[in-house]
Amino acid sequence: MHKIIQQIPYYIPLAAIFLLGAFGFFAFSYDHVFQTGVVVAIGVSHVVWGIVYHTIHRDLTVLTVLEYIVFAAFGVTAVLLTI
Amino acid sequence: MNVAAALTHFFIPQESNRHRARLLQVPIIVLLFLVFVVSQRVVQTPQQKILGYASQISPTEVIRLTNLKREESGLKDVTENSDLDRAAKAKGLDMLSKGYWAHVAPDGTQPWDFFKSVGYKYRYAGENLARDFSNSSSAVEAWMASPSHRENMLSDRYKEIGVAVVDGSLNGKDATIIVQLFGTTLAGSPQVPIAAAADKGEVKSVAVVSQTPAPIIKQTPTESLTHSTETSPVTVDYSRVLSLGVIGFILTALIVDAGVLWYKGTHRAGSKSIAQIAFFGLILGLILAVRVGRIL
Repeated sequence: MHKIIQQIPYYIPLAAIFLLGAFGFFAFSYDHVFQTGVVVAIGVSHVVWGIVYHTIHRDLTVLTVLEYIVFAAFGVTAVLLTI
Repeated sequence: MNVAAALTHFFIPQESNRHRARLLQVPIIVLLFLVFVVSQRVVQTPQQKILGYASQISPTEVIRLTNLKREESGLKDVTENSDLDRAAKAKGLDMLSKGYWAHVAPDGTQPWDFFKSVGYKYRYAGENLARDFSNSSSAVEAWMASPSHRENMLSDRYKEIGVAVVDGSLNGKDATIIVQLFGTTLAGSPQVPIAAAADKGEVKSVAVVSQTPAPIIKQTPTESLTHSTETSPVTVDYSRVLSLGVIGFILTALIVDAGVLWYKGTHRAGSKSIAQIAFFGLILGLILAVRVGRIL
């Protein structure tokens, strides 16, 4: 339990990024270009958060970065191909 | 390796897959990603979307809903004008035949050229566009949500309206386009501002009316073109279904992977499962809630 509580501060920025992204996506639903920008920004922010998080925890590897990039690219592409 | 072992190797983190479900490892995800992109291309081809015309949209309903919004804002109704209807239809057909989705055509044809082509001499004119909405109400609501389109709909400068709904293939994709034109006929003054709703609500096009007759714009609709005013077959959005299925599948795999790790108390190097689950959960939510139609 203590470990989970210790981790919370690291996830607050991630939650803020996602909430802000979701808000922007829906608030500007009439603007397709803006929506595209928001989705790409969410994906990039997710990767950056992962790099920062693992750098702080001193366990950043090339494979970890690749995982974040591939998953982010997948998610962003899925949304962009749908909207 | 028997089938059960192969499946657990694929879906459950264990020693054989270095405590990361094989499905979620980079090479498999990349492969899945490529298959997904190719599949999306296939389901988006016109042949696969024969029933893709979306409309239960009628111009009359769009006009009725527009006037409802105007009444709610204390404005007078705009009356339907058959010339504006024809101009709107010409604009819709022009977009389909030339393959563009914009207020201004690639060849430089301006929105107000269509007003002039039907002989509508305007003092004020405006244009709202929408595509791929499944009903009139959602298109009108989308316009109302956009400041610039809303301004067009609720402007007291406009006295008349014309609406057309055209179905056809736009750059290889089925599209149902709604063209909404507003106008006020010329009454002595040659100064004529025209507003084409800008996507970001910032840009306004302004023009001065030419008193000389405008050239008639030649329309060359494709043979496959149909004009919907009544109900058409209901759309199945294969693209969205595919995206939901694949993202849902990966999200489930991520949750199972994280759950098994947590249950076993195993620590694993690599990206954080909780972050990936949150990300894919958000992606799933965006795809589920995304508004299909677009406005311009």
